[in-house]
Amino acid sequence: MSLWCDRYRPKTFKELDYNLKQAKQLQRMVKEGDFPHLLFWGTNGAGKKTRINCILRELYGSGVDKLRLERHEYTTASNKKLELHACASNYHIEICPADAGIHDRIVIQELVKGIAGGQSLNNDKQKQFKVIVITEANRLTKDAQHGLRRTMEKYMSTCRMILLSESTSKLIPALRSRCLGIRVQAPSTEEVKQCLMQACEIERFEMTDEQINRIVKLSDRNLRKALLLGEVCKVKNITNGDPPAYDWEEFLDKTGKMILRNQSPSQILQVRTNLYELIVRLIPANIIFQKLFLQLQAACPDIHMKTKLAKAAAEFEHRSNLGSKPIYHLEAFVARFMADYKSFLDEFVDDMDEDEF
Amino acid sequence: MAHKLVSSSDSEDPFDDDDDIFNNSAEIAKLDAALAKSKAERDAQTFKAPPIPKGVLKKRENQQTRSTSDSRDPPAKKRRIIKSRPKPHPISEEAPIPVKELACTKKKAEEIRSWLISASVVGSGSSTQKVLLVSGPNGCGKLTAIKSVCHEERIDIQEYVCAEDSSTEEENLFDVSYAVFRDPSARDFMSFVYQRTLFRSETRKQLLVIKELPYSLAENPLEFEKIAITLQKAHIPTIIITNTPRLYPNLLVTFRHVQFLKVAATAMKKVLGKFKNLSTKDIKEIVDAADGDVRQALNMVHFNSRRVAGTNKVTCEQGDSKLLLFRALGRILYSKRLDTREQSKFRNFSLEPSLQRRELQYPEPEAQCLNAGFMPSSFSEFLHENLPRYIPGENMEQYNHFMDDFSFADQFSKFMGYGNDHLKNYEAAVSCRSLSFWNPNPVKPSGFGTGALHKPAAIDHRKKALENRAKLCSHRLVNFDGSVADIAADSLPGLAKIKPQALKTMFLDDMVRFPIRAGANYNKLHENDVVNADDEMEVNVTHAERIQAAKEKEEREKYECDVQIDDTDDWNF
Repeated sequence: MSLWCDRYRPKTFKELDYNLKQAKQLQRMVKEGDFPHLLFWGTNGAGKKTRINCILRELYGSGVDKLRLERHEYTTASNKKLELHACASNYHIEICPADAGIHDRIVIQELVKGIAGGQSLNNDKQKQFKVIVITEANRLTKDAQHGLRRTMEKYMSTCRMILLSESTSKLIPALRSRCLGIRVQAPSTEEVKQCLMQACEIERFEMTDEQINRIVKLSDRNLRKALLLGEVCKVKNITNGDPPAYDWEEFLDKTGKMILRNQSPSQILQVRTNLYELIVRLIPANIIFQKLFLQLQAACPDIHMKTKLAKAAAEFEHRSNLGSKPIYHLEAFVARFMADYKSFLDEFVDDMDEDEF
Repeated sequence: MAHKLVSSSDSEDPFDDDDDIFNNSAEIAKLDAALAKSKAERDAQTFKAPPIPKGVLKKRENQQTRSTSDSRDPPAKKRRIIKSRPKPHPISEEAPIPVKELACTKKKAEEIRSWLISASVVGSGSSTQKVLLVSGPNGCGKLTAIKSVCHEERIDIQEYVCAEDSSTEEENLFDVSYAVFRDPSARDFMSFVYQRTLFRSETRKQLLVIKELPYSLAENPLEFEKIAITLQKAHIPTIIITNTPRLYPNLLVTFRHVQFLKVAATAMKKVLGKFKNLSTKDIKEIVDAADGDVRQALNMVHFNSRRVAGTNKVTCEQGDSKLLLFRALGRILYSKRLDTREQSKFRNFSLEPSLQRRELQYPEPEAQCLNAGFMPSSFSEFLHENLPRYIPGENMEQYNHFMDDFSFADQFSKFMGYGNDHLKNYEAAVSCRSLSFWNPNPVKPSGFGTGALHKPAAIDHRKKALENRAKLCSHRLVNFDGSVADIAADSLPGLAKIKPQALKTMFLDDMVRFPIRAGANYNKLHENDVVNADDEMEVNVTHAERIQAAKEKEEREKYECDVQIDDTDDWNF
């Protein structure tokens, strides 16, 4: 079971399709044999992970492809057992300590101690260090980030860290300054189109140009999404027409319509249950904000209301990042819009009445 | 300190008093004598003493303290050295509790033990730490743990309890010779420390336990430095117990620090389990109410237990403690108002009419939340859940205000992502205030089922989201790449379109299925909601308990992490 986005993922620097200049620089840096800790950041589906894989490949050769799944066990201070999966080869390990929730500091400590402190690589030809890939670094707690910062300095001789993060804003400055930050730019729409066409060609699936453009537009410069949508089209055999929307998008769309249909506290209660459904399925709150905003602003009658809506969206999304209960902020956003929208409609109706008489 | 100030001002500035007739001390003495006489006369009969004017009482008190302080040496008054021996208090038992039966974690006891052993080695160099700081909330068994360990290690304990009632400010102010030690309790403490630490028993190991340092030491780092050096050089190791370690920042820096935590609910249950005739329900209630304070829990057992008629069972029923929550919620959601207008504190200032409110029947809505004894965060969740049901009407503007404030308040629960912050208590306060302010004309809920309070759906949903996340995490690296958000928003729904059957084997199929098609299912969550009030209450109670237990556990663990940082200072890799 391999999806297009996995099957056509480049394995070496040569195979990369875009951001070639940056790729060359990376290649040169790695060729020197040594490099600082790295921090890759960029939007979803931009190719961060791909570039990391390329680096590893360049460093250690085909050995990194022999992956095995490791199960790591940790014991917290309160004697609670934690289990974490990691993907490892002889030369590197990839793990997401953030999965351990508030115990991520322990994971980082133990992991690095085990890998960096323990064995030295026996083969002289090999590099002096191992690589630890930490995914979703933005979700690490502050505790863990501080732990990581010390570790980085202490074990510089035996290991290199590669952090993966969506943005740098959630990382502490100390951590940012210890890594070489590498921003992976999302592919341009043209590049997405190129990649998608290549994949289609290999798969022998023909789509109209219009169709491809449509997918590219839907994917919003997210290569993974573009490839997924392409594959969906192939499976459903849609050669000309929109690929079916994801279920949650459809659901969110319905929710937006509910908001526009009726504005009252009891309606909010309904909207709230819908929002819960989305949150339970781990759709990130910021994506819900974005999509709702796009949908609602289309219904806004004038530019003034659009501005107000944008302001509300920004304000509540920011708060939801600071707080811990996304439902409050989403609901507050909806309530704000409903209040504005309703008062507008009421005025509108009043005006109409006056006109009639 | 505050207390001290009050008493001193009383004695110095008599015109401050309401009744300055009794200013003259001779007059007071006369009155006293008369009173004593009359009391003696009618002692045989059950006679109620005539009410003594408040001013007199105060004066008398002052005189007495003055006279005693004159006659006796102040240090002797305040110093209490108690050889460790059982007190006839219900809490402390006859023999020290064995270490393994302590309610606090074994790890802490072992930490104390290891320190004790290393510190009480005679003639150890200056490198060893002679002072240990033990901190923790009230009633978490700090002293008990120390006593137990000392009993097992055969170490004698000397206790010093700092007297807090040092009211002889006057005398102290003019004490030039002790210019540095203005505070008598600090002075006592110093002299005590110098005396005790000079000598050492040859036969038995000794330990000095200081309970709470004099307050003035917190303000005066110089004095504190002296004491620290003395204690560090002393022959006898010292343990300083305090439950406000943050008052003494230099303490934290100078000495080793063992931080106790609130006693876990399970440990507390074990302790209370010794009372065989308590039912599990009672135990649970007490544990909930005591909130990690063993002393209070035991007191509650003693205070509340009464024999059930006809049996040898004992019950601790305290009425329905959870009723408090519902009362508080009701009071805030339906914020009753009096007919009078709220008075402006400033004479020439008045709010614009739209912002003027009538007085609340229960002023200080945040006090309601505190009384309910609930976590502020879950309290606000209760409010949030019941808000649209309880505040009917089509007023969107009002609802917008509510939600805006709720969202604002939520920022406190995890301030700037640092989690577990001291600001979190404000969350409920802000939401309560918001509810009472924006609800100027409360409407009583009418109709069947509208008055019932609902448990927050958010809790269920959060639990489910966590489960889902765990599921996804276990599949990541194996089947998917990217962050959890990527998988949930892109990969998974994409895969659902491409190969729906693949999801079934991964048990992820329910994550992509939404109640879109079946329109009737929209209200599924609320179908069962229209229950009658009593049923609803029952559900709430059990649920609320569960949340709190879980929250406590999580927080405990979080603290455990924090402690480790404090202790080691260095990440011991």
